[in-house]
Amino acid sequence: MELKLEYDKSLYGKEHVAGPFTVTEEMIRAFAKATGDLNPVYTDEAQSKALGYEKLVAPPTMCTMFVRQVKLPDIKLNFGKNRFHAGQRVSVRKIIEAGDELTASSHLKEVYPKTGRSGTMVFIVWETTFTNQNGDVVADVQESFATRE
Amino acid sequence: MTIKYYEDYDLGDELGPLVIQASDDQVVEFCETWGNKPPNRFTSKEIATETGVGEPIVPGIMSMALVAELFNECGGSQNVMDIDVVFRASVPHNSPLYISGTITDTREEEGKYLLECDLLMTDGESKRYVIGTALISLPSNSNI
Repeated sequence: MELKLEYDKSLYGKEHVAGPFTVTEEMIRAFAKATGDLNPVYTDEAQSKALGYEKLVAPPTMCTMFVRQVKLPDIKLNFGKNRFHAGQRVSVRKIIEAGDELTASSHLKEVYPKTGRSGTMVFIVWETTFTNQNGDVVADVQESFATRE
Repeated sequence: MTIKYYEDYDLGDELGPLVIQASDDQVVEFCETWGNKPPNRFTSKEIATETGVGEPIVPGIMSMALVAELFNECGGSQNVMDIDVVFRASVPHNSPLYISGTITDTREEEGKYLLECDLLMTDGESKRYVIGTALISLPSNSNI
């Protein structure tokens, strides 16, 4: 039987904006320390400069921390009781450095069902674009949440 | 960190395994940096149980960061241009996490030297925590 999904389709095309978020050296170092990343471009400005960067560089996935700062609406999906983080994608457009000010803009990308061995799940995908203080897009982040009965 | 070049890699080359753990303290520190103040379901057994997770787990965004560390053996994870992961199972604290990759494509595109890679985080045996793909850009030694 075909699953008839109902949710708030008026959310398509709407942007939900948050920020700006300042990327500080402390934040970069704390992220690297918490993840055990010993890459010196995240912790040592001299080594970062030696590799051609102007400042400390942010790890490529660090911007995902800011995604949850965007207040996303309930899509009012008529399916599923349990929701979990199913996947994530980060596309880096430009290196993020200490001192950058990032603005996040999120929109509902797609909602789709998928049936596998464990039954049917519905995936909700949000896409967030990060722009820096110069108006340059620095990263796109897609987050997928799955819900099942 | 050693500089690695595009030419250092070939189709089918294996990366890793990088064996790491996410300790309780690291997850707490990560949540504090993230702005998801502990205690929460990632740091507290009580809250994890209430929310149906059972045990505190490593947040998805932290697991992705751990997987990206694999590329520190390729000149640094700052070379990652795209990383796409699927969370197949909850990632536990304080357990060895085996992160590995396989180069699936090498190509030059618009002046960039790119490696495409399949990614895997396991418990070292049959349990797959995270699967995914990544695209990294490396310098070419033909430009030296």
